[in-house]
Amino acid sequence: MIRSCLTIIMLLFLGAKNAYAEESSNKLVSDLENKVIDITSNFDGSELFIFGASRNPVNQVSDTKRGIIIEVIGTTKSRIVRKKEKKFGIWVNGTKEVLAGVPDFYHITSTREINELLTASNQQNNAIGIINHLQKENSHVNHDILNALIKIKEQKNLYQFNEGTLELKENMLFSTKVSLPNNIAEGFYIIKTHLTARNKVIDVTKQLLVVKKVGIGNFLFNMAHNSPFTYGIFSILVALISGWAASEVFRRLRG
Amino acid sequence: MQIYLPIAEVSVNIFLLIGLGGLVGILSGLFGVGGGFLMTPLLFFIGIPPAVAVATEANQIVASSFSGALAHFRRRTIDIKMGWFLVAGGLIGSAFGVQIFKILRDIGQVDLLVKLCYVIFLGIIGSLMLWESIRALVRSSKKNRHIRIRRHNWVHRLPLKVRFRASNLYISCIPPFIIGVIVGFLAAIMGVGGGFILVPVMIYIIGMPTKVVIGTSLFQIIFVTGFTTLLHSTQNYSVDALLALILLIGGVVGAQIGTRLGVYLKAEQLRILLALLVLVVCVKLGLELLLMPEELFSLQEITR
Repeated sequence: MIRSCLTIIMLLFLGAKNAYAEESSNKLVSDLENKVIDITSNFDGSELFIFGASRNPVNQVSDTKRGIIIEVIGTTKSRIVRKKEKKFGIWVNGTKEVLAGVPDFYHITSTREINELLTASNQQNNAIGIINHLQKENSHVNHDILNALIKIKEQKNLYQFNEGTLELKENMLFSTKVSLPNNIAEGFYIIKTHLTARNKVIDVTKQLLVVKKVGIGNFLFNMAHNSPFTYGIFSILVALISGWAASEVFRRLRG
Repeated sequence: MQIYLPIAEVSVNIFLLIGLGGLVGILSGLFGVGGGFLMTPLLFFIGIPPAVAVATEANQIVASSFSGALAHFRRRTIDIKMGWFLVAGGLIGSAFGVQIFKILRDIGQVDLLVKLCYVIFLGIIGSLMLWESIRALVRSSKKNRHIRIRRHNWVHRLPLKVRFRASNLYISCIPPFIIGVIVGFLAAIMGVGGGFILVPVMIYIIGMPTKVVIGTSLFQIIFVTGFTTLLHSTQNYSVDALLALILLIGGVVGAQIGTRLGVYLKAEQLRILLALLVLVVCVKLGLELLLMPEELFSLQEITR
């Protein structure tokens, strides 16, 4: 934490130094405290600390549309959404829809409600908001299905919506903590920070977060997918050895 | 303490897993049942995907049956020749079962298959067990009756007769082979050893002497669940070796406790409780299929 505070202070100075270069291309800086998160065998979730500053606060203080939107977007994958239907008196999986580019994880936070910062068309053009992400690659898919997907993910705490909770200190500095639950998948996560003003996105920064399995879990997962036959034999051997060990231990105990 | 299961891809409390393994282990030690048919649905209830639960249970049963078979091997209470005929059928049944499992997994119906099989089998086993134990209670108040096992039935008229010295039998090898196929199939789609079917069939239909029945069924189960583990790992990538190992630790300790408890407790009366437990699990799974689910939509990752 001390390290990140120091970085913020450094950013502050940088911001002050560049206050004159108002319309320079870099109006926004942001960074992550940790760029790598390890999923260990006893992984029970983690926290991602994102912080940054915008550089030209002075002349836009009165602009209410000025704000920050931060999105954390997990690795995207294709997913199948199935809807249960009642057949022969029981509920079975019926119609299905294949969705492309579904993020494993999604978090959005902003200084105000997104609708107050950007017009709907600008949200869509910049693919801000989970529904716009999903629609970009699945324009043919019914909205009900996309909303069902979002709901399932939200229940697992994998999609998190915190609009309007981000605080902009001195109209310049921001920081947020994103809690990553223990069921997150490994992969590359993109952190997008948008600076908005006058209903438009005026700058974007991107950071990459690597979430990876480590230790015995990683070893088993890779073996299971890269050399499944060896993994199968290994699993059987582990079982046979433990079975034998158990029988020996209890034979000795019985005397 | 949470532990992240690499194949199931969920975090579960490790003590809950050891506890479940121990509980099922105690029951299996107490009643001489395998426990796979209870453990697999319990794994569904704590959030392990059914496909992973089934394949992982097959893996765990390799350990428990090997541990049990070693004792029978030392006492020479295994009919190895009969065992091989059962294994031959079992491998075929298992291969067939894993293929069906894979096809249904691809079309998103594997959870339905597994749950339906469980509702049917738990319903049958639970009811039979309840009926048997109530009858046993009633009977124990009367005089002990001698149960006669018919040693000559239709099985003895089938062709391809083989001599099984350890069982002192000269019968057709078709029935052991067929029962092997059925048990192998169940191992693949339900993650059970199948002792609850093998043992009665070996006693009442094949007519094997009771002293070699348990050992021989364990002998078959090692090979069939081992083969099933291998097929599930190569076809469905669904064996979680870490989960199997944790369940096993609880399981072996529980089984020893159960065996010792069995000496002090009246297993006949406790069997009613086991029967009721089996029926409760059956009803819970059945309701999941019958009642309108809270969430109609489900997500599936596209497997590589």
